[in-house]
Amino acid sequence: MDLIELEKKLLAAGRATRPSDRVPLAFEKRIMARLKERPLDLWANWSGILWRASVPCLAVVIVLGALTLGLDLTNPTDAVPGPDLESAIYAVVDAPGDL
Amino acid sequence: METDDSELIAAVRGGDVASFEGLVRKYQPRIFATVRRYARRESEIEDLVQDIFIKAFQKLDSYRGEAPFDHWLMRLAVRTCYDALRQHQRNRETSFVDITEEESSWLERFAVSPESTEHDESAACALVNRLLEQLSAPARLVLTLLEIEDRSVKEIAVLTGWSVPLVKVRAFRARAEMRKILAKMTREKYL
Repeated sequence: MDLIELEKKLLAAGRATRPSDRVPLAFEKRIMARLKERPLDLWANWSGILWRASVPCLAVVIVLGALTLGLDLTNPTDAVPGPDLESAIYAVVDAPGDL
Repeated sequence: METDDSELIAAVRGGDVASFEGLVRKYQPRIFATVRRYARRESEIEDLVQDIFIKAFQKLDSYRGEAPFDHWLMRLAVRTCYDALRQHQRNRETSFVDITEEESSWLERFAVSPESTEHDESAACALVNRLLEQLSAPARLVLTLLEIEDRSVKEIAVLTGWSVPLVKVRAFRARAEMRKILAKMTREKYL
């Protein structure tokens, strides 16, 4: 049997047959009833809000990160804690009787 | 026509769920016809169409209006049908032993004289459906879109979300798979 010819003929048969577009009676009502009875999914809503908020949050983190990095690079001495900070931290140790 | 769609979509997005009925009413014949290419039982077809419209409602926020709404909806329909085909993969038949007498007679006439058989006979239509049902999910989808619906590779890529080279590879494999099934069918029938 000529399989190539058979394949062509069967595919032509498939092309010649258009499936029916018949819709069951009041099918749209069934869809609408399903949509209306759908329970409010709080977790899905909450995760959707969080997901949408993630992009602006990421943008803020990037901007703040870039600003901090920029400040550090332009003024590197600011990044080193000064002697005032050190004395403030050790104040408690140096003078325990004052507490 | 487009204005109607965009008005309905805007209303649904604004919280008027009832406006979605207009979209369902308008597009349901087309969706039913599409789904009937991939499912046979009427209950299964109705469930699939329902899934498609519920997904469309849930994902309506992701429709950006860059392409017509029916293109977006058809993409959703094709992808839902593909998922259903993949889920039902295990239930596929693997034999042609149960072909009807009418189909068997068409094949016999074809074997004797291919020119004497018509492609628009109901037996040929039943055989092609039987053949498509035995294909794997990607093969069935790509052959239906390419050979039966006569769509271009680019259109299939848009509908399925596959790349153009992937569509070509899957079409090539699908044809090979179909020939293998046809060879098996004729062996079962005539040996």
